[in-house]
Amino acid sequence: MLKTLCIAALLIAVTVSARAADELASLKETSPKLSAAGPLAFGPQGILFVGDAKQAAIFAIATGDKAGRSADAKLNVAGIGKKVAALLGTEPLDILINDLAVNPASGNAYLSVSRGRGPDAAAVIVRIDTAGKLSELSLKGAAYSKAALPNAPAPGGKGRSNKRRDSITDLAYVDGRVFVAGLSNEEFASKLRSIPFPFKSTGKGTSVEIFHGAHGRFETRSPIRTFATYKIGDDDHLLAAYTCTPLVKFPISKLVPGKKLKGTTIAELGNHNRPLDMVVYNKGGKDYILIANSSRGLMKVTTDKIGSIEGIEKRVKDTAGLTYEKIAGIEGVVQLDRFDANNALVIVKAKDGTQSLKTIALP
Amino acid sequence: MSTKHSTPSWHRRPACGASRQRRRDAGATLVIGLALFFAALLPSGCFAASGPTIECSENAAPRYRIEIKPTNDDRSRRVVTVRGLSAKQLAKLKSAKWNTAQWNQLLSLRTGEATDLPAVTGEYTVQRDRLVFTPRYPLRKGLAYRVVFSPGAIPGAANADATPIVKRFSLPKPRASATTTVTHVYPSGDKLPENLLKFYLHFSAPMRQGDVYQYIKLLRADGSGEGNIVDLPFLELDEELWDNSGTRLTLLIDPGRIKRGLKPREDVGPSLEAGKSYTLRIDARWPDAKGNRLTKGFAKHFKVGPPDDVQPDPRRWKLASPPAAGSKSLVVEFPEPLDHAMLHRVLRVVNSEGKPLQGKITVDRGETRWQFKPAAAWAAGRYDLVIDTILEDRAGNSIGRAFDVDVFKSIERRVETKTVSRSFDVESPSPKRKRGKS
Repeated sequence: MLKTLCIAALLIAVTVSARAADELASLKETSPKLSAAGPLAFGPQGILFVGDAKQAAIFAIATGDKAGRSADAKLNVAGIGKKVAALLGTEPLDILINDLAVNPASGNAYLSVSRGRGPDAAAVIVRIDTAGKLSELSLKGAAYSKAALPNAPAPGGKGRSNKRRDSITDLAYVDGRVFVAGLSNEEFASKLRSIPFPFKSTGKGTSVEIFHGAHGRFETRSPIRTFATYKIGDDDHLLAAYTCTPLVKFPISKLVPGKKLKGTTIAELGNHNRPLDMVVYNKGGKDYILIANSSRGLMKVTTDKIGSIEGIEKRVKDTAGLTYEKIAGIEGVVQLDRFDANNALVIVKAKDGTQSLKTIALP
Repeated sequence: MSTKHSTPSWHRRPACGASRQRRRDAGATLVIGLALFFAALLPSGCFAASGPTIECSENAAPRYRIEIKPTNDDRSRRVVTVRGLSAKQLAKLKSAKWNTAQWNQLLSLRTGEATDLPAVTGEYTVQRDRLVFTPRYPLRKGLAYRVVFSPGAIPGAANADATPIVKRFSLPKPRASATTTVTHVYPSGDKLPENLLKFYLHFSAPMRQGDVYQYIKLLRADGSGEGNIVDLPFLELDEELWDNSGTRLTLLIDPGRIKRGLKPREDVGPSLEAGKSYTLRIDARWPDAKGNRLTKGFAKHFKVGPPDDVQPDPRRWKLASPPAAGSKSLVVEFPEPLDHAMLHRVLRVVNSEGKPLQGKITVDRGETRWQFKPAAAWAAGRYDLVIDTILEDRAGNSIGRAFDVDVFKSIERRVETKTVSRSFDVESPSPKRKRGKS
């Protein structure tokens, strides 16, 4: 029995290792040229996915940052905006921090940054190691591959008058697939794209238009602001946070090209709710969803009934569905990612505009 | 190569406190004479290099000279150079396998005076007679920079604690001048549906991005005070919906604030309500990409009418065919205003072989008229106006589907194809009767 288990474990290890090697080996180009650095997500082997809205593409970049995680590391950098600006030779007013992602393998944090505030802003990835030291991720010589988003306009568009551009609101990597949520700056449609990784030269993945029920009778195409993946029973789901109907679940297996997919609203989290980021975690044997919210700081949502809850189909006064609690003592969270099993990493913005990177215990 | 760098006497200046003034390099004889005089008096020196610099050093080894110079391939970019290193020192630096922290210890470019900020990222190279630091990104005009060079960090330095040489400089900041304007706001009409989905704001030059929503307000027109500002009417996305030129912003009304059905949302209410008047106000303090404010603010006043739940239907459009042998425009009129941006992108004219015609598109009359003027004269024959079914009206209803689908009603018309088309004929003008002399 033990022998069987060992062989099985070995086979799994070999398979995983071979797959990881495939994933790294699939990054055949070198020295990626980003035009915009938006949403970030980490895949296996220190591969960083970067959403580039200007090129309407997702880049998979080998960071070479694959290990070295320290169990008790905490990352706290006061004045992160000032420090990023100094590193890039400018002032805080001249930079934008677009997203934050933690490399689960090393614990290093990565920021996507615009250096400049106009259309010619440079796209930069900044790494912050667990000692709090900043450096620019050098893309010179870095291996990468790139997936063009489906339905993206051709380079240059149809003549100079083409001003269409796809915005990327969030992305995530799950088990060989990159999920990308976005909308265009012209036609209004909330699209969720699923792109197999390693990226292939042909087949750009699937694009599914998604809806959710709102107020009992309408199917709404509101864009997804942020999403996370979560296994309910044996099925992987996307938990998507919207502006007006915040939390909706979609079974990933139902993301079929060309089909309309209607999600189930599992929580209404109240008025003026503008979710920014979300992570799923386990504490005390129970799973929770932590949502960073522009006006409410952090919200901790229970998942107790996430599998069985009936979709909210009626107009609600304020909140309904899964219950949540507001986490006191932390305000102005503008970026959130999971740091490790027990901690989250956040960027908080003070009233004077100063931004700081903080490790906080998962509540 | 000389190991000692001789500094021209006019580069020498008195000690730090007195050196904080810009050097006038068009030196008159008197100035040179004074400089020579001070140089003779002072045992150690600060060295002003060429370029727009202010330089200061204390107890500096006089042989090293820091300069801020334009790069060869781009005169607007600057590099930091250190001259005065011996051939031996340069050789050691060239063979050094240093990491960034080690290079920073020798030579670093920093912003401001704070000591807890990282050095500017860039590349170090050893050239024929100098050490060069090339900042990764162009330096910001008007920002104070500080170069710190520590001779003690040179491999094999006799005195590892040698006092660093510090040089401060800034590049001249261009004079602020407001030239950018709001050129158009679409929809251009002054009566808009209560379920309006978006505005397009057009600017004459690229704008600053990242904090746009603080400069855009929607006000109820029954007053102009703070109390009349509609609270959070727009969908404030992290990634703002700019075009690639940075001159057009798409401003979406928050779909959660668009009135639906018989009653608005019970929570915060809709952004726009029929029968009321509003003003979309753009603040003149919004800086353009160069940091200059707008020449003036912009206000769009409008009244709100009933919701628009009807999908655009190309079968109801009026087409006026042009005659052959000329390049008069094809004119298409819509019964309702359509999306200004998409009218420039999703309509095209194709000939009988399906080949798109090149030409110029004009949209006017409050986005109810579309004209196409071909680049070449029309040839007689049949053409198609091909329309992508994603084309929307002002409320986001597309040819393909309505914005919100009311599942209790079945009025929605679903068009599953990606395009629809309308044919039109271009005919040769009828021959005119000759007016002969009688």
